[in-house]
Amino acid sequence: MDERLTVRERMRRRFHFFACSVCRGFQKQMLSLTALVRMSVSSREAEQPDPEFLLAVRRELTRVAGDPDKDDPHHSS
Amino acid sequence: MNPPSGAPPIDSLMEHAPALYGFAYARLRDHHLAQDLVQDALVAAWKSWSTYQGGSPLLTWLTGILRHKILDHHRTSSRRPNLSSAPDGENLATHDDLFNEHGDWAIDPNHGMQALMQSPAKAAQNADLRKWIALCMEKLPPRLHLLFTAREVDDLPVPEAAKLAGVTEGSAAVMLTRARQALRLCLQENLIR
Repeated sequence: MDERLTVRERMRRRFHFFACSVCRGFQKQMLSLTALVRMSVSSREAEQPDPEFLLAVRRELTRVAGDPDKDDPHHSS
Repeated sequence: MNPPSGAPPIDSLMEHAPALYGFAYARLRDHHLAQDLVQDALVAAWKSWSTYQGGSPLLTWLTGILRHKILDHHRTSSRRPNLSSAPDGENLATHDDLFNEHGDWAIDPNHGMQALMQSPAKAAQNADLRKWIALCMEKLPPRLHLLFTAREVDDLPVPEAAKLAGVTEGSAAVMLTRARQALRLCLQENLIR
């Protein structure tokens, strides 16, 4: 699933799958597994951050925007 | 350092903060760490605004910065002593002896897995499967989870996913196989219970 197969390997796989019903079922499992994992992660992505956190980030950006040199280690005053 | 020319309005960056948080949380599974890295990424974005070409959507650019922050975090944490006994899932119960010494199936891997053998779209809508996959994914160690989502969800090529997770390409391939086997076995155990 992670390596590109050569044309020869793809052909061999196709013939093998034609004869192997267990392999075809296993492949279906793997495809469904990927779909489920994607669904699971995207539902987590909908998680909303704490409003307090957003306020804190805004404050930090405002601070950096007001004094961008303050936390720059290369800045010499 | 001088302020970047044409600095972005803070509102433009903040507009994407919830999406960035969701991205980080879904991959790191740690609220506090996700918050820290999102804040770092947004501050870094503000400071390097002059490098933003505008050719891609702002969220894409910000997500790229966040990915680097996640990578940096993993690089740093991999240098620290790790208390976990199986940080990369080495001890995961994955070896369900699928094949015998001749390379033939040793067991029927499809036993009890009919729900997973429907079309992927149908499987993804199955509430039970969704519940189990969420629980099974919780069992993946953090680095393996990050590698797996980079590959399976973000569609990154193996070398890039490996870089993101801070492992070698060779290790990544083994770890990805291990993750798939662990998830499949975990689902099977729950489905036939």
